[in-house]
Amino acid sequence: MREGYGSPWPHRALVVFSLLVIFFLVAPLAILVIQSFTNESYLSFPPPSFGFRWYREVFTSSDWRDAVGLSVLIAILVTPLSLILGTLAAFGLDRGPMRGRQSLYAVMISPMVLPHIVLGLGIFRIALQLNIEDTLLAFVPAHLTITVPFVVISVGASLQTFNVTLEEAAMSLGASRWRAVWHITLPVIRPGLIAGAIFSFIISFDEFIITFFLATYEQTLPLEMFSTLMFQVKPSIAAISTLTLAVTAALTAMLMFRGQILGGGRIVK
Amino acid sequence: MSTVELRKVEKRYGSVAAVHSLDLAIEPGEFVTLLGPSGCGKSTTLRMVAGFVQPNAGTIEIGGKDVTGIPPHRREVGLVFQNYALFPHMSVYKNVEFGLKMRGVDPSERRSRVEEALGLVKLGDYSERMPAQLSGGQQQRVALARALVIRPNVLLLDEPFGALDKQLRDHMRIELRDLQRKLNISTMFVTHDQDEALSMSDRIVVMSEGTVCQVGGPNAIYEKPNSRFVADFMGRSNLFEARQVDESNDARTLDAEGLLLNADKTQELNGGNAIVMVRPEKIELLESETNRDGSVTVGGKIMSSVYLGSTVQYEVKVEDGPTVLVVRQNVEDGSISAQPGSPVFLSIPHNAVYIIPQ
Ligand SMILES: Nc1ncnc2c1ncn2[C@@H]1O[C@H](COP(=O)(O)OP(=O)(O)OP(=O)(O)O)[C@@H](O)[C@H]1O
Ligand SMILES: [Mg+2]
Repeated sequence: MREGYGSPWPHRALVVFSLLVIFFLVAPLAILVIQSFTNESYLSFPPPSFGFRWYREVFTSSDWRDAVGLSVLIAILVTPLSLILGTLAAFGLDRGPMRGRQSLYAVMISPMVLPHIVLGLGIFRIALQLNIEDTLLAFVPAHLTITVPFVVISVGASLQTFNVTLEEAAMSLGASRWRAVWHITLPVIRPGLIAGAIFSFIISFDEFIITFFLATYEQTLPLEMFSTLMFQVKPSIAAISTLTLAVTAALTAMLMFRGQILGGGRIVK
Repeated sequence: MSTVELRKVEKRYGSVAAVHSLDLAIEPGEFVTLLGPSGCGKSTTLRMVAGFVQPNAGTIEIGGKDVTGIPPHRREVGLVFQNYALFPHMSVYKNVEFGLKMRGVDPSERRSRVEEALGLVKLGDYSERMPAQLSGGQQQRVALARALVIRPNVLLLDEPFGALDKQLRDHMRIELRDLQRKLNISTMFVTHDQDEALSMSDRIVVMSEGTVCQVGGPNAIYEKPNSRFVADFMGRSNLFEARQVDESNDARTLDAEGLLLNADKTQELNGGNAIVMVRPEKIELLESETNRDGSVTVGGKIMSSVYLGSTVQYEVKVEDGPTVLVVRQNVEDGSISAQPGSPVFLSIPHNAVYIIPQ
């Protein structure tokens, strides 16, 4: 208990308020997770009985397996491409001429703020024209348009704090420009690269609106969930949602603790 | 053959010349310092030698080879920066090894050379540390080892001690100079600190606004500056406008703003007017009028005195003449009463009067 700082009431009110916010954010998810372990054939809360019935169902159903497979495949293709394109763009913005830098940056990250439904419509038109709708050739570039800006931002931020004399030191020691970037710059900005990669993966895995335009027979996980919901509300939805939640949470945790897990400790200036 | 030779080198940014028609040669084993005020083009010159800045005109040779237009990584130069620029994700050992790896030196030779280089800078026990775990002085020594291990033709340092505190800076000066002599490596050193330049260099290149003002040994630069700018930049000095009023067989008598001075006649005087320089530590302060051979003695009044520890700095107003700066060693323990207002006499030897050539 804090004393001597005036009334404890504002402090208490803040605690209560924060708890309420957390409750409203977490409660629906918690209910969903609990419901996913029901043994009944309908959703109810609290469930009358518990078991893994719907997880078995999800893992044995070929529809779900195909959907998860496609989503993972797209995300695995999108992540490295997004990282490469975004990193190149960030380098260009960081090292290129000053003039027009701001506007170019704004254009590059605009897909983040444009309504995805508009983007989706535009990409759909192009895909139709090229006759590639409903294929990876459409899904992957479409996802890239919205994942690349995240890499541009995270790598760009790292480059801004990067000390360019490190590259010059490497070059004076006999490294060509490429080797200097490869051996020095990229390792030093690694936290930014990892953040960009994780963002790309999560966003691609989660993407619904643009994929919705492009897909007809092929179903990604979000699309499959949506179409299942359209017909009936079965507990399998709760099970697959819980699994998705687990993967996303794991990746986000990796993002938050990347310094400790992947970066080998912070680099102290 | 010079280790480094710059001929008529020019670098312009827009319409401004950062470096203008610069000629400079560094001989094997020589320690050359570029000295000058901020913005005079020292770093630009160094970076042209390193290859990070391309000159607009002129040629640069390193080790007898024309390297103008050759990228930095094929120039065989060792570079040390003010901010150390150690690779933060590599240990001290890996930092020093980097240049050898890039050159494809085989692993066993790499090990012995890295150990030798770390030994030179007395950091043999620190090879597994990360740069962030070292003090500023230690980091700069690693940077030095990293630059030396590749056995460059020339060592380039841009204000390497700028980030260190004074004591460490003085210590590093001595250490760098010893190391440089031991390895006999040609060195180009950039600083705007004249003490640093005077204490370390074989030759000093004084620069101003992109051009060379004077090149010479520390002694010549300090005692015989070739311009008012150099005299002013190199330590404290009394500078007077003077004209000749009399001359004898071996001396000229000059009227320096009301102060009558004798100067050796070996010094040329173009026209009747000149600027004369008297270094403040060469003037003696006397309590009573004492005439000495080869000196002039004039009376004056102490205007101010500043206690600087090892020295005391006085401003003395000469009767009907200028105010003169005098610096004395703090040895007498107050035998001169330093109260402002006390009368004193100045004794100025002939050979302390230097006529700046115009
Ligand atoms: N990249 C650049 N673009 C434009 N002007 C530049 C650039 N680099 C240097 N200059 C200009 O060239 C001149 C010389 O700069 P330089 O860095 O060589 O000075 P310096 O002698 O090293 O000064 P300091 O002691 O402050 O480091 C300065 O007027 C500076 O503004
Ligand atoms: Mg500089």
